[in-house]
Amino acid sequence: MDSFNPHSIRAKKARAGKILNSAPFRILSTVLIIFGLFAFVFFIFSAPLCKTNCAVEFTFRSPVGWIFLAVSTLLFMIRLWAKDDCDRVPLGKTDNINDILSANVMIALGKSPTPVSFSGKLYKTRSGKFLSLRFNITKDFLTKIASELPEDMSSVFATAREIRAEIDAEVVSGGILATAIIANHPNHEEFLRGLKLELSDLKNGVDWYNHLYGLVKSANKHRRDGGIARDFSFGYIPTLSRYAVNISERRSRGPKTQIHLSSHREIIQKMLEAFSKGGRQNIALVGPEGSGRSTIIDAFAEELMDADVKLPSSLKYRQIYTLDATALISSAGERGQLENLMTIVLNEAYAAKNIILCLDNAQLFFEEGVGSVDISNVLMPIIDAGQLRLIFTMDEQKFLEISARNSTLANKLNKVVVDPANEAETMKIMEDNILSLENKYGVTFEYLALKESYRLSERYIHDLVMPGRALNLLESSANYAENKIVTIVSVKSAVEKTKGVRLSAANSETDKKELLNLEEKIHERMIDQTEAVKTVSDALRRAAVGVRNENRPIGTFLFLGPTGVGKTELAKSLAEVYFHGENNLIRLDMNEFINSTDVARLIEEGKDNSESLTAQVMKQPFSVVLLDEIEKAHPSVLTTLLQLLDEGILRDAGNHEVSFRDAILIATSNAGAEKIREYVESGKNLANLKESLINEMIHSGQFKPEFLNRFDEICLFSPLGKSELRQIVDLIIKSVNKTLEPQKISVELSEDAKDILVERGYDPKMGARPMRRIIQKTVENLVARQVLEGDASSGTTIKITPDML
Amino acid sequence: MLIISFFKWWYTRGLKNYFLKFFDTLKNAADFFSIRLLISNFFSPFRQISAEKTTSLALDARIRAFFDYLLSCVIGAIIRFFILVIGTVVIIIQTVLGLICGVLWPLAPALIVYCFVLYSKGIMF
Repeated sequence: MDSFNPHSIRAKKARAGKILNSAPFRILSTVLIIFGLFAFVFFIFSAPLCKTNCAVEFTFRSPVGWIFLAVSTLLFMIRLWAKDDCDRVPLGKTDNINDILSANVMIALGKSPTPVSFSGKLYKTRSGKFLSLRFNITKDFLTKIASELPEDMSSVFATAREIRAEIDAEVVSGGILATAIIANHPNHEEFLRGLKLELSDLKNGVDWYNHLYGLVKSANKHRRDGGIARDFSFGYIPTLSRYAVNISERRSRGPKTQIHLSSHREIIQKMLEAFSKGGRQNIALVGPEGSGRSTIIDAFAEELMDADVKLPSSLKYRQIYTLDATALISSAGERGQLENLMTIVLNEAYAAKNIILCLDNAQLFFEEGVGSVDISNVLMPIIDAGQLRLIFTMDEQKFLEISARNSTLANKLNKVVVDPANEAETMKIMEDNILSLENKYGVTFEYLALKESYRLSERYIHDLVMPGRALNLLESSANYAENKIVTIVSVKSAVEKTKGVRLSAANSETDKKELLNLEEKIHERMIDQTEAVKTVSDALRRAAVGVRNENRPIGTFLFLGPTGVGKTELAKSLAEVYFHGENNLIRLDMNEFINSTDVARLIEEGKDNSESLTAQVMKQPFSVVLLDEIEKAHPSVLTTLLQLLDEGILRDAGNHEVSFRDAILIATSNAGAEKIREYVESGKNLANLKESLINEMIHSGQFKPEFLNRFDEICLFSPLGKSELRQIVDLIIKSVNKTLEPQKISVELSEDAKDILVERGYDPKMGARPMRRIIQKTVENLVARQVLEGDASSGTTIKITPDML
Repeated sequence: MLIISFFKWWYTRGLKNYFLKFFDTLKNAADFFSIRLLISNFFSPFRQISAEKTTSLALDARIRAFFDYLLSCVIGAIIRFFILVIGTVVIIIQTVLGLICGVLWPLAPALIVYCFVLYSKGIMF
């Protein structure tokens, strides 16, 4: 059974170290050491004040000087001991808890520790403080779940020992002990769930602390980089220095770049092999943006400059320069100048003998067409000769394009694929980057902010891959820190502000109110269709509070009903109310997709067709996608949409995944319109028709059951009657008045005038559609005439009566 | 107990760590003055000033290039020589001081006792 022995030699050393390494003792001992040495010299070596012709010879010389020397020496020895042996007390020889506890834990435990007494002192250990700060494990939280019984300490120690072994930690630190206290509580999972954490997160946290501690230690270590005469044997590069950045120089300071991906380590090995043997002296790092191409080059540059790394002499202290394509192109004004400049730069790099040239985004140097640059003619002989080492970076697509245009060039490049990182690797990379980010922005990141960055970036950032996209979001979130702490909320804010979306609609009181009154807001701009509006509102409320499948669109609705009854208007209203703008409506007329070949047009890549469905959603994922007259689309088109409805994902022609998971998808159809009208006219309740109408549409072959089944809701829209039309007149007049507002003119319709307009605009088959035309013909023309004739000026209210219509 | 632990550390890990740090300091100094590189490249041209290839040039140009190269090597050797001398002196001083401290290290506890003996006997220089 494990029990803490406060009288063990390690515990005593830890307590002694606390005093001896404290600032007051260090200052006092330094002063005493200096004073003692001066006193020693003064008393032992001082000359007599009066040597000759003195009545009494006077001198300060005294053997007491030896005492000062002894005291100074002793203090100096104690200082050395305290720093080396007592600060981080070395591990004992056994696996006993007393041999593996960290020094500051032994101090914090005191003489008769209990789990609860240690909880109160968690802040006194470095890793405990780290855990509190990053994981929000407060003193109160820990005190609440920690046992008060001293005998429970032995089971805590046993758990701590297991955790230490699991994460391969050197000592049982405060963080491990805190984790063990939590793990020992029978309901720890429930407690941690309240903090949105799991026990494995805390273990990761302790591992993270140990890793960062190691990084800081290595950063403080002197890095040997060849010294002052390192570059004496290599040439000057005045032109290259103007147009390139020396990565090796930049990376020679600060902590070393950490490589967590085994694939990246393999790539660095491949680069070392390619550059140390004969043959083609080039590497083409081909991978998507954000996959870590730059990190690989940074790590490679550091390795070449590290005197302690064993390398062939032909690679030792070689420096990587990244060419600045923009600076080069902007300096070369006339045709041919760029080629001349490149020749000078390449000659310098070759003559200097220690340069590895990196062409980042190399496709920029091999582009065809007006205003673009192609220096393959200049580079080809150099690549062929293999006398200058070159690194190219580009994405797969660009590499394929170059291969298609210039297969000779592509064949001569040593292509190495850089794959995106997975979640565990991305988390490690983010954890490593925390220190520099915190230093840069003066903030502290919580662990959950890192997890959230991964989750949200995967979903909302499409122009980069992991780990770049998560790091990018994490850095953005630093600008949204509250009290200098970056939390989940900060990460969400960063996404919301940069992407213009609401991640959790029901956060603020205003948002909650808006969602609760969704029907009211929608009815401000559309009349009737209460059932359809309610169905849609309910679905959106469920989505807003997270009661939905995150791997599907926010909502998928099929609106069925006659023309002009408000199907499109409801879609527009949703865009306005839910996404705060009618601009967030992506509308596709499906009668343009009546052939099977039209599928290609639907999912065309953005660079080929910016109006395709996938291109529009990629640009604007937070939208209402309105597929008008869906019944007219070709069955192949509907089959393509099945995956979209099911998984919220559609792949475009370039095989890019386009997410519809933040969109509301609405398909409208006039199918069954006649039946709906007849049903309503016969005075029956529309709700009873839905099932039979769906069956009829399936039997008639208009829609396949698998297509209809994939919608969250199928809403039936009833035809509008005269009373509804009258309300629509009010709405249209309201919008006319809004248009006239800048001119301070308003329009008022008498009740009789409204009746006339309703009579003229009523068409059971066309719904509200003719009404707008009628008002345009009558009211708007009337206003225009009055303004031109001078009868209506600023401040006028035009009252329209039946005789004016 | 703590005192025994102190002396144990002083004559084992303390002494070992001292020498490790001492050798590390020497390595850092050798790296700072690029001693190894200066020796291996002693006669290399300085900064590759005359690195152009001369095979396609006329004879007089080739002769001029050869002398440029020679001059560059001489300049390189002179600069390297001076840095080598300075570096060597610094390393020698560090070595001597380090070794003196290394010798004094095991004697330090005895020195304290010896100081008290000298005091008690009233011995002076």
